Amino acid sequence: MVLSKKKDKITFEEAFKGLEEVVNQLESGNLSLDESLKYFEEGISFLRTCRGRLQDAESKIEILISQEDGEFCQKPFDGDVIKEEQE
Amino acid sequence: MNSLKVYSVQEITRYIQDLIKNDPNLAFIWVRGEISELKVHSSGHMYFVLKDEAARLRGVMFRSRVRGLRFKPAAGMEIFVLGYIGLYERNGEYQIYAEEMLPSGPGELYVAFNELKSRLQAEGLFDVNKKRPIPPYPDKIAIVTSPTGAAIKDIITVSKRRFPPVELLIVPTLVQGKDAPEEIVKALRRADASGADVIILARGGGSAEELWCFNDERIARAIRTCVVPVVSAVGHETDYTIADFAADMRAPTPSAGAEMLVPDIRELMTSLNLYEQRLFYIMRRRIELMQERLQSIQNRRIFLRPKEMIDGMRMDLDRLQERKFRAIQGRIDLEKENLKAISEKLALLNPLSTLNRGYSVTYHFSSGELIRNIKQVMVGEIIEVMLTDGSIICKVNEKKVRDGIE
Repeated sequence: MVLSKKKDKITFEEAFKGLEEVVNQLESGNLSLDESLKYFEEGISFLRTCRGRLQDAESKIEILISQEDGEFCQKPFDGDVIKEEQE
Repeated sequence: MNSLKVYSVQEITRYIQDLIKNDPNLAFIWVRGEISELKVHSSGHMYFVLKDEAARLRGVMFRSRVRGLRFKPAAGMEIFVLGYIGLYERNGEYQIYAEEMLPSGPGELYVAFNELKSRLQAEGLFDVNKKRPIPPYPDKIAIVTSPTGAAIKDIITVSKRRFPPVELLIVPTLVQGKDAPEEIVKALRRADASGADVIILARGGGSAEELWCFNDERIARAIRTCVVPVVSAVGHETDYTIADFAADMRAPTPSAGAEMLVPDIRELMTSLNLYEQRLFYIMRRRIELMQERLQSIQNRRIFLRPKEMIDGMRMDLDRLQERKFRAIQGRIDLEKENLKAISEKLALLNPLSTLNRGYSVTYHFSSGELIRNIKQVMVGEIIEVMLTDGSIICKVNEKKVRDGIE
């Protein structure tokens, strides 16, 4: 049930599926006006979440690097650095 | 040849070409070797390398001859090639121009590949029902590959084009050589634990030997033990590796892998816009419907001419009240008639009316029991005789049996 789902950060997939379900529920026409309004508000919030994710203009590309202590850390990956290494 | 003359590259190449062409030993020969680096160009010509433990020989077979082949050559196969040796001027390389090609039984690598494939298949490692579903909109993709290879560049380019805010994590590993399988297994584990939604195991195109490390049992098992689904994207479209069979999905190339995994932002935007339109349309329609219903309720008579309705109801009420009274009066009259008839019947049946005519009734005084014959009384007993106006309390002096009655 979509309405009961509470999560700090929902994934794009969850928001997209949520939106799909809300629209289907609304289109089924089995809801009271109050319920419809709740679903509608929820749909708008899913829509905002999805759009928000799509409008994060920056890509995030990282590489897993092993450190001297044997642990791994993530560092931004720059394709240009690689190019230089190849040359 | 004059050693003082300076030749152009073309001249010396032509000279060597002639030497080869005119050597009857090279004009019509069978060569045996393992086929490798097999490529069928879009023109239909087939390029390959024949090799054995010690040497390599480039080869080409033209389209018209390729069409006539009765088997499908594959990298790793041991074959016989019939043809002539010629020199390809542009590359300065000699090669065999193949007229015919026959399989001489599979090469060693080919056998090893098939053996491993059937063994893992029998074990159920490639079962379709074990394949994990690929997330349609992954938030984060881990890429197990060489950070310096062509594959990573292709994947990044395609991913950024399709979905600019994409989140990728490169998990570096060797992708060829004998240490590669161990490294790939470790990298897969790291990728699996990285919080990514899906993993791509990728490597750009190469010869069968270069891709050979992906035909490793350890990699197949590591793929199956990952929690996150794994997509293999190794080599070119025609290259199949054990990793491909073990993976949850096979992409023909690294670029194609990125195409499959990374959603197209324009398509997503379009579907979001459609959903938005549908949402607003449904709500608007819903509200319009409610308004129509409200309007139709408001148009009913009770709201338009309420007094008329109330007057009507008042008249109904009066009529009903009148009917009620009539019904009750009728019922009372009927009951009165009934009562009268019953009283008359009762008067006829009343035993006391018999007493009026001089009869009497006798009871035991003590018990009040009715006395019907003389056997019920004893001499000396007190009895009560009831007459029309009262009773006489008597004592029985004597009993007489009526004559004729015994």
